[in-house]
Amino acid sequence: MKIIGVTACPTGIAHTYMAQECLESECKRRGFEYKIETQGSIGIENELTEADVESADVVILAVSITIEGEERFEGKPIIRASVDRAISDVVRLVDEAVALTQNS
Amino acid sequence: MIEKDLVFLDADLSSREAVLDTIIEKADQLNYLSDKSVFKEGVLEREETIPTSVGFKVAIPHCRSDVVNHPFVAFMRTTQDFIWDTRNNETVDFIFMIGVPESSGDNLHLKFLSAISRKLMKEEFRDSLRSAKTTQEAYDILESINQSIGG
Repeated sequence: MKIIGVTACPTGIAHTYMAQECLESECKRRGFEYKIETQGSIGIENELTEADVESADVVILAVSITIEGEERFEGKPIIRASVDRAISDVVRLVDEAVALTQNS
Repeated sequence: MIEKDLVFLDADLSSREAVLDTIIEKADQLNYLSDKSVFKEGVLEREETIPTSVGFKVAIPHCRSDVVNHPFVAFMRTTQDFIWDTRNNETVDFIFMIGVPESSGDNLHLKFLSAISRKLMKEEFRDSLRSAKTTQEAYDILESINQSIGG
């Protein structure tokens, strides 16, 4: 299982990175491959490449603002959530992402 | 960006209002703010959007504003946890307040803030702050993050 995702919050100072950390640890705990891009006040970091998108089973967009480059994920199974959910409800969010890959 | 005067251990406060006022007052005394009431309004406005209580008993009220003279992080540990915002009923006893100027010259402080935000999600980091006995100890823990990013 390879999960990729983007996190972004209105001020781009804290939640973006907390959500990244939570998604990464949850994926790591499950032994998944993962890569989470952040779009915060520092700009885009850990940017997802075409190859990352190609190899991903599912995309989690934990974003509370409009993000750059959303069209990259066209055709992929996508879970959308608020950035807060990736922090407070990350287990179920990843569950949902996994379920989505099994339905498609 | 981190300084000992902005580390508050075992504050006997139990409301968001009291916590914000105490930290903002201190930040103002230390000349981090050019207009404390505008800063507080900004912080509350951000809280209105979505409460910054993120679980794990942590809240991170923050604001990016041109009334912030220099970036700062304040840390407060309260004696008991209290409900931060009735919209999600999360209780908190750790409060990180962050102030960032609107136009930031360099990225270092932003990198620090992202590093600390990530660290806060780690239980062992929270535990170390929870067991800190003196403000110096808590300060050292926070400052070590600053060192690790080369700030």
